[in-house]
Amino acid sequence: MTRPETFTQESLGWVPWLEPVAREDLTAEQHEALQDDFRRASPYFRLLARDPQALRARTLTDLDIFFNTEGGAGRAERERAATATSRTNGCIYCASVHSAAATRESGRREDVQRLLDEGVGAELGSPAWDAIAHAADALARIPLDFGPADVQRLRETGLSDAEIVDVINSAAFFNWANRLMLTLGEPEVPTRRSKRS
Amino acid sequence: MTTDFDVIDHLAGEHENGDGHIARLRSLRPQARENAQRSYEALLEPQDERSVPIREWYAVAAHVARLHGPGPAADLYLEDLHDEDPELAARIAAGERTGQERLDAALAHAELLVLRPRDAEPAHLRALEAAGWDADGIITLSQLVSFVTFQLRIAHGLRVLAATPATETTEELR
Repeated sequence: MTRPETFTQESLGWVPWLEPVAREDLTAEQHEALQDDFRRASPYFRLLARDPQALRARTLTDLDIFFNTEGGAGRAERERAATATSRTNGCIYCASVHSAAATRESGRREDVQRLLDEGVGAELGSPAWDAIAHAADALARIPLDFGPADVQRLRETGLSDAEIVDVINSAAFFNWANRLMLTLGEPEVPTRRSKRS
Repeated sequence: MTTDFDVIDHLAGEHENGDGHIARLRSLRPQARENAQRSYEALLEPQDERSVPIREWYAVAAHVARLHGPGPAADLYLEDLHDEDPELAARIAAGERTGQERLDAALAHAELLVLRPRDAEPAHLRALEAAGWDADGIITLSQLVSFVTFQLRIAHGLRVLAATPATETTEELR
């Protein structure tokens, strides 16, 4: 198995350190908690299925925070926040998934890559993206470092309060996701690519 | 038990000084709001019997909140714990270990997740197993700790947003 050494937008695998529930052993409750076949195929989500109530509530929270765009921030801005949080927390796997999504939603691959390479202090091509990355980073720190100046900065780049709530939600959610992915398993470079390099 | 009480609104101070502005913005994501609350209930107000008693889950939640510093979440979880076990609450409030092997292992694991999750290794899960945690329990424990780090951040972010009135310049931009 090859562990990725640096942050990347290329897709990675994830190997659990505890046994996931086997697909054929899923109870009706676990099956329902997993929501869709993408999650049913994933070792990570089948591991979380060991607590189906917690998984179900978590997935529904996730979907609304990231995909309900009514009256708020765009998809790219949310993926950007998720990437910045993952970069600060050191979750290479989460950063790969959400940086790729940020690129897909925005077309700004190089700006996204600069965040991965240089961290949240990098200039990301627009004041709004810089402010979102900075806010996500501040909210990841302990003690929590997100303050009035972060709100002002987000507002000055044109974000409405509804959009700022989406940034807060997205960044906060990845503090949850990063901790699960970092402590229940580890990322791996797919065999195909590790042989190529 | 499901009531109208929403923990994140409570922690964000919506009921102390809010004019409802933030709650209204939050309500644009009704499914997220409802399921953040469901997550809290699934993890901290479980309806079915668990092998680990509720006071241990409250102790872990209180410890996670305390690691972020004093505030409404630490108060809330310490009060919940105090109702179950005053002596244990005093220990957690003092940042002490409890002398109970399973709980102390959970508190140590919570510190890893909160403060340095990128340092996690398989050995940390094996240590939990050696202290009496099975795989299902480790998942619930990991969800609880990680959920509370999320809950604290949403509440903090909303509180700061509510306390930072828009200036004229920023109003114009909106």
